[in-house]
Amino acid sequence: MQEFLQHTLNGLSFGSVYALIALGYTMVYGILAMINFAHSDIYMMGAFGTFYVINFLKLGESPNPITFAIGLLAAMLFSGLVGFMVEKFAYKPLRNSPKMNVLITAIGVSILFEFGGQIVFGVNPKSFPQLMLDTEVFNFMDISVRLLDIIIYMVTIISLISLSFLIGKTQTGRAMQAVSSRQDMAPLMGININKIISFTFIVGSVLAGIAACLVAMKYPKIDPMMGVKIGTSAFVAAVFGGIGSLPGAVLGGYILGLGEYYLIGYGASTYKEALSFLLLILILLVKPTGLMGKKAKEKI
Amino acid sequence: MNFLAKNKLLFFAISFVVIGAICNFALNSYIQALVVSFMINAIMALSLNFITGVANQFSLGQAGFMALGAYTSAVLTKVYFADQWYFIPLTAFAGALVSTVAGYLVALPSFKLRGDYLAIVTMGFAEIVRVLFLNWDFVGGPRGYNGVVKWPDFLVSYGFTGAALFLTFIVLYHLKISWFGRNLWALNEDEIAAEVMGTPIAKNKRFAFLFSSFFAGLGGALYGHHLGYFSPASFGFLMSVQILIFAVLGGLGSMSGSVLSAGILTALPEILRSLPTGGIDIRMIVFPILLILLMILRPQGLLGRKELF
Amino acid sequence: MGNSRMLSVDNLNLSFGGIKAVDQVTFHINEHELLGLIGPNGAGKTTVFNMISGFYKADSGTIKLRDEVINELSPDEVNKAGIARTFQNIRLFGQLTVVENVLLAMQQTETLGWKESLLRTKSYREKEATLKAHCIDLLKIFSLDHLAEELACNLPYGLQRKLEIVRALATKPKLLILDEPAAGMNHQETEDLKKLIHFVKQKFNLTVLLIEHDMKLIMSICERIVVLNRGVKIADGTPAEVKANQNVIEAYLGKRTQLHG
Repeated sequence: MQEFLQHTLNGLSFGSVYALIALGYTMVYGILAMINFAHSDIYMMGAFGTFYVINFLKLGESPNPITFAIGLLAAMLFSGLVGFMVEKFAYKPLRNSPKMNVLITAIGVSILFEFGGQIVFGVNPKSFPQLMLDTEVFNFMDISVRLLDIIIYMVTIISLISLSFLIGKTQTGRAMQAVSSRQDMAPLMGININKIISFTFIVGSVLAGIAACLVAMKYPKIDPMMGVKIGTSAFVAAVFGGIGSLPGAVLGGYILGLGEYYLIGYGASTYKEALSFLLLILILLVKPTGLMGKKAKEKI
Repeated sequence: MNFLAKNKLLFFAISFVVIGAICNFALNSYIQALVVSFMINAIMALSLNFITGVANQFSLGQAGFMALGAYTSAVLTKVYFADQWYFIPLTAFAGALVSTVAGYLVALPSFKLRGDYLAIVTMGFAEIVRVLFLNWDFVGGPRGYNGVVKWPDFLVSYGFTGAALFLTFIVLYHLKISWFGRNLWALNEDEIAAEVMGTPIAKNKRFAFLFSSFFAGLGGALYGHHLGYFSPASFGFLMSVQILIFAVLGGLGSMSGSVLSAGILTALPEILRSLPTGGIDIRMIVFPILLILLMILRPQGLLGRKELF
Repeated sequence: MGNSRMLSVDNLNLSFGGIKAVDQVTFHINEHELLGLIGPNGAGKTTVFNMISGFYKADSGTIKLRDEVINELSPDEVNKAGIARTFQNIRLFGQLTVVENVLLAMQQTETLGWKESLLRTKSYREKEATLKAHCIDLLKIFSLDHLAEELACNLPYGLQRKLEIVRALATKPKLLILDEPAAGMNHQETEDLKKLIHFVKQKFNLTVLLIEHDMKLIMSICERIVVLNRGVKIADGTPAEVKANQNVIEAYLGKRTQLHG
């Protein structure tokens, strides 16, 4: 029981991170119907953003809330900027191209970041600076609750609330919804589609940046390939929840995070990657719309 | 249009022999190995081009089929044929068949899935194959498979790999210009209209997968016997992407384009080898840039759907 | 009655998420008849049509082509059973040539063989050439043969409609279903279409089901008309009978208004 609770706490941390990344996949899919292969690399860039900013400011030796705030902002800024650029320079020219071309481009962008990153940042993992001390907040019946986990939960919750406010209550958010449901109609209502698409990429990327900073704090080794595995899992989470659905992405993220942690906790970790793909294939075959996705019927 | 016309065939046979002779007598073993690599790359590019270019089903799992062919052939030669090279054609065929069976399994549900989702499923398939080999000690697990039997010398290797490439090309090209290719092209344009004209969607797609996976398996088997070593990491996502780049540069739907681009892209990294990249494989920089630029500037690739002849 | 039935639709039902799109619809088409199926928007005619051509599966009820039950068949099997259709929003294979469009349809009823096509044997090439010649002959009947090597997408709208009908005929159907063939046509084009439909029906000895919005067209050429409204059949009779039917008038134009056309 005690072991189970510990796995649950860890699973919730991971689930939070998956949820944040999965939101980016699902938002972009909702608006452009494309799988943004480079999303995991936008995530990776966020962690490097924090790394370079904190080292530049020489804050690596002073873990405190201000350092954390600066680090988090740096990750958000970097990821957001990278996401914006990727959309502008790689995807936007292909707005009217066949879907396959866009997907191929996305794969190209992703690989370029991973291997270009190895040249720019170096192949070896870098030590991520300590932004906060990971103290044990309390210990209840041998279940250790650490500060970092609490930070992850809190930051995720704040991010999700902000996102739902942004989408549900602001003009831009409603425009995003309009574009994602009827891209052909949106311009008639005076919506600038390109701006909205760009904005969606930025929001999704910023969320990935937040996730990257949180993960790097918990596992302080970063390298250009760090997004690959976590990106795959988050993508599976997005599909599982129903791609295009925001609540679905969050739900999928938590289910997958918990599921993976129980799996690792109780053995079977060598097959972990294959299992997430197996899960994905099963979902696609049984219920391709995922838990909360909507089904589109083709007009004949 | 008829590739098997006698004069064309004769031309190809003669140039094949001449190139082989030049490589054997005038060039070093490094170039010789490169020529064989080119032919294997071309086989892989053709196999992908058929399923993705002709049948419009985006596969990111060619490396998975390749791995099945490579492992099957390597294990069979070792276990049943005492590592005698002259059994390679037989075991390579067996490897291709195993890959075809996998292709059938992947294809079973695939007609339900379109575009991106099919890409993800095939990618997942390749990943599952890779992880299975990773966990299988008999074939070396993560350390890889050492001591795969190799061809005795360049000419034999050249001859057999060339024959395999010829077979791949002839079969896939003829399919492309036949009734079957027309079915696939129609499906690719408008599935619903094709279905209403009496074209069974699932059956056509499944057959396309069978052919593609057969030749991908064949290419994989030859890859193993050419290098003498491979590991699960050889058949990762990056391999699938490399194959994709070959097919895209030549032109999705153009069979001769795939052969041409396999030639260009096998040679290019060797020319760029001297660039300083800090130990990073230069292909992993050049290829993605090429891919992005192609999609923006010339999405149809070098030849589009046309052929060189 | 006396006539033998080409198509019988019996008590057909289909709901989408609790809404009855088609409710106990029953009608039939006699051999060599030209039947019109009309109804206001959302009447369920397209849904019925999609059930006949195999895209939707009925919740209950049967569809029979002569004596063969076809409502469990997939669209390609429905075509093989003898029903061909066209589309409201023309669906040609735009990047295929005109003759290839027809060839694609025609080759489905032929066995061209795997081995022969892999080796591209002489017999295969001859077979394909013969088939292509048949397609050209068919195109000639509709004076489209001079455009045989054009890409289908380069044809003007009216000819695309025509080609779509030719392509449907290439599958050698017994029953031809035309889905709003006059959509987007001007007066002259509609007149030509009328002639074309008559011509096709006679020449190929076909039964035709016409689904149409254009009342003029349907009233002037159909022998019998079935009217649907909100998923229910409300009338079934000759154009004159339907025109006088109070339910039909109400469905189309509200109460106490005369139906034009």
